Amino acid sequence: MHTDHVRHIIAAVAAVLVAAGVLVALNAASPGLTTGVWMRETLALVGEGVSQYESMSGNWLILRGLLGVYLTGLVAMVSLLLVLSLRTHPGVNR
Amino acid sequence: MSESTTQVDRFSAVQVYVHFLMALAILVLFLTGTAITFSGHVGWLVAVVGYQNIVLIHIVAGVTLFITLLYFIFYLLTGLATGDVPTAWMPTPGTVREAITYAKHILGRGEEPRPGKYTWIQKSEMLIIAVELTVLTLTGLVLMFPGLLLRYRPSFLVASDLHAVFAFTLLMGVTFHLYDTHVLEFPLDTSVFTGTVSLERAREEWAGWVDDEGTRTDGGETGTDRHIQIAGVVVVLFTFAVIYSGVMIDRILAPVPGTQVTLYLLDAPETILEGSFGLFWGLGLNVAMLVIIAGLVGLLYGITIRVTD
Repeated sequence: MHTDHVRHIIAAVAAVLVAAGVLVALNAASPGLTTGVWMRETLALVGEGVSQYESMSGNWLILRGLLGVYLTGLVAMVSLLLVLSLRTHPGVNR
Repeated sequence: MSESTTQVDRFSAVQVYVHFLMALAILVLFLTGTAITFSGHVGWLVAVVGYQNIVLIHIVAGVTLFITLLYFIFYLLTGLATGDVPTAWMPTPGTVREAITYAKHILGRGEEPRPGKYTWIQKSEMLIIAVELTVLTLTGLVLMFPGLLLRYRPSFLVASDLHAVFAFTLLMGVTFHLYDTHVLEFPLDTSVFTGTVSLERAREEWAGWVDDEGTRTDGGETGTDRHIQIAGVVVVLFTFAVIYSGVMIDRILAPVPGTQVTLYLLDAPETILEGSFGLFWGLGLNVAMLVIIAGLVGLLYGITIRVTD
């Protein structure tokens, strides 16, 4: 058998086994997939306990800040590259 | 044979099909994820498909992406045994020097850089996508089983925040990628489907990858459709503005993610996203959906070329 075929088979089998293992383990820890509505209700339920957030408001704020900086930085960088492409690419290629 | 017809191998069959599966899963995840997060603005999709079905499709696409990523990782690992591991995508000190050369060139203080197989922008894209897909996969797996949120609250709410913010950041990155592959290479860059590019294009864009004998033309009609490029930039920037502001209001500034209860600095977000200025996000998010659908059409057309060639 060709070496590359062996690589495909090993990779495919390993991928399915690992994915199945992870999903089975998570399902054992918390049975049942989300239905979306359940997710929103869960978030709302957790959200009602505002006091839980007050105890970790410092970390919460830091996380939000970091996410905001990451989001803003990446958007700014990509927007800049986009505008610069008008200079580096004088038109489109057909 | 002319240089415009001579083809150079650029992507292997594995890269072509993994790219196709990943892109298909990611675009479906974007469609369904936008409908889950901003269902009020893209209600037509919820009405047509149904909210429960959208969530189910989101999960199926997510698991497909997870398996595809695992497959590619294991395929690369098996390459260690055969000595066939692609390294051209890895950033090197030369990549940093190329970025500096690019900046100098933009400022008019130097020559254009001569990138290898991938430019510093392409390498950056790949690294950012790898990081974002890792975060999205891990948080997505947790969010699939919401009982975990209750068991480990409030820490696992972080998963919801990270998932949404990284997903929409990735959506903006993919929009930029679609600009590269559908606007700059109008109407579709087929290289990632056929696996080949013309020698002339390779010399133009990746001069350090192929032999450079001074040819600097592309072979196609270049510079004749400036208005298409400008329109593309405007659409992409508008999409960025909509997604960025929507995610900032719905996630970053809302203390309890997804529930839109209150904001630290502003009023309740639904009064902003769905209030007097809601038309901005209503229009913009639907433009984003059209961009995703256009990407899907291009993807399916591209793979058709590959299969029927």
